[in-house]
Amino acid sequence: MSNGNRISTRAVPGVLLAALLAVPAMSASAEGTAEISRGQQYYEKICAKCHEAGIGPVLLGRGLPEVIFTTIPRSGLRAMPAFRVSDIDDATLQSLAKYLANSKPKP
Amino acid sequence: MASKYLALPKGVSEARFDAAIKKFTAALGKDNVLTSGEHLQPYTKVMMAVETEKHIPSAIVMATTVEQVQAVVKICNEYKIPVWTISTGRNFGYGSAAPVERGQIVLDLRKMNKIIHIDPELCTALVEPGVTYQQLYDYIEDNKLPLMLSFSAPSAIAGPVGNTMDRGVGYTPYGEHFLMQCGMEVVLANGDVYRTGMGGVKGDKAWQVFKWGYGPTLDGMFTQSNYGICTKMGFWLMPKPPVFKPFEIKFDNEADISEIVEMLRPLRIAQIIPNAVVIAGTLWEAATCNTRRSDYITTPGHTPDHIVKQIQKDKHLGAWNVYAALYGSPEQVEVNWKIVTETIKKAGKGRIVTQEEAGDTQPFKYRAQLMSGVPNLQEFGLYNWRGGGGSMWFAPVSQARGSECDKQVKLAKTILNKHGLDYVGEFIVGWRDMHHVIDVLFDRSSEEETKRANACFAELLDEFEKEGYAVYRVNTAFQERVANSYGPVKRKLEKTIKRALDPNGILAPGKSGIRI
Repeated sequence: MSNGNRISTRAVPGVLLAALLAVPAMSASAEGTAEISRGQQYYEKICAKCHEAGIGPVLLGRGLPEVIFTTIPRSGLRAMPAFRVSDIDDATLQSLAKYLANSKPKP
Repeated sequence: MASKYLALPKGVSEARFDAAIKKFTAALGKDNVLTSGEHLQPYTKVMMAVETEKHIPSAIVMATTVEQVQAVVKICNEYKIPVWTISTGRNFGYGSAAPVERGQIVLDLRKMNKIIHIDPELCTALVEPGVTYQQLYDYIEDNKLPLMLSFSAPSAIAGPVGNTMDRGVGYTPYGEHFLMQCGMEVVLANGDVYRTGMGGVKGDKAWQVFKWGYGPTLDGMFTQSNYGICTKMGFWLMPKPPVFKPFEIKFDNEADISEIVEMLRPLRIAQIIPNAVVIAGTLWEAATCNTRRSDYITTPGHTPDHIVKQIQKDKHLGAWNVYAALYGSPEQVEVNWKIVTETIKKAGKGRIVTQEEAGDTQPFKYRAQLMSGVPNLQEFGLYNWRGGGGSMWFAPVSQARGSECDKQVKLAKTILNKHGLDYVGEFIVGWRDMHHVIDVLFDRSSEEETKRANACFAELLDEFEKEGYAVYRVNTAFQERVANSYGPVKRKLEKTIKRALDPNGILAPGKSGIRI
């Protein structure tokens, strides 16, 4: 159990939101290992169904910081649903964030 | 003094809630009892046109076993804490994961996600509440089982228990999900674990194959209600057919809707077309092939008809777009395809599109996936039509008659447009009934538009009720209102049952308007 603070109506800092919705930038980061992480698996199974279908913004190869990918899924954003700790635990979300932050654009 | 909790249950002091939280923690472990703003945030994300504050939970408790659910119920009774149960919490546009009333705790069963068994011969499944359709799909694919799922559009993240308990529908011949449910395990408010149908018989093996059991059949009583917490559910799966043939029929004129229903109803009732026939309007189609309103118009208010016509033309859509499919052996499908095409030909209107012709284009692709049990999230494109994350489903039920469609569309469109919103709707022809599913889409980030959407939804309910229509399901903000549509006798009976089963009124008070 952890005790409370007030809920933020705008959990996502404006600067992060602006970065996410901006025109994709090329990623300078290299993809790490060939092994598929739990985060990548989650992305491909769930997130890609919107974010590679023209519904949510493209996430791969944007060079966005990990914090975006650990913050926005938890709060949801506009049409995007929130993902609870029971949907994706902190470790998997961190792995997902690492994967996306270091991803290359899709060819 | 400000509370350390975001909200408290009605009539419960902070000290008393502290004591309850301590007991929940002892029963479930500290990681499964959440009270911080950070942890509660995902449970507060609603799409309804009401203030978020009205639906904030006081805490989240997560159970992983039936015994833990019993423990939660016991503590709730002891401390008079109301508990709102979710399975996957993906009831978008109906309330998502948030409780019907501020201050209720949420019992999140998402971690209770075992596929207990799937029988590929009898084509049955028994699952826990946290199982998602995607999880089931992966299991079926990994094990190469000759079975097909039926689900609602948010299939990848929603699940069969929640959808069926809310009497949701899908798009395959097994799309009336509650009809395909067989056997339930329910934790009652007194902690008893009740199994419906054959489930109470010692040594029984027929729980997932015979629905009725002996004496009163009570499964339906637990759906859309607050009489118990479903911890296991059985249901039937359709054998994967050798041939699946999805098709679309595009009709150019809005006025064609009556004729479409009259033409297709006999085929549906006779099971020539075995799945729910969907008849989607232009804007539904446009949104699900990623068209945004802002691509065409940026002025506020409803979208004028000439723009809708332009979108129809640009995106090669019909004014009405019918989706259905044939399933079976090559011979069966061939015969039924002949009947379908001859019916359309005889009508002299409607352009048939086959899968071969549509290729990978949307929205045909996701419709075909929905009709063949392949999870996707393409229908979330609806939420981008206007943007801003506001959505409430308005879903009145009617007879499957052409005359009903015309009347309902005109009435709905007039009310929506009056409030500056668009008609984004489809008809789902179940068997003899139709669900007219309208997504009341609005920009929830605009307080002014949110107020308009709320007024619009209330007017839709009122005006449709005057014409003898009621919705089959509604978001948590309007459940009390809709309960009244069904009359005082039903409400009185529901209260009587509630008082008998849950004298402290701890299970989801307010769900479907039911309280002690």
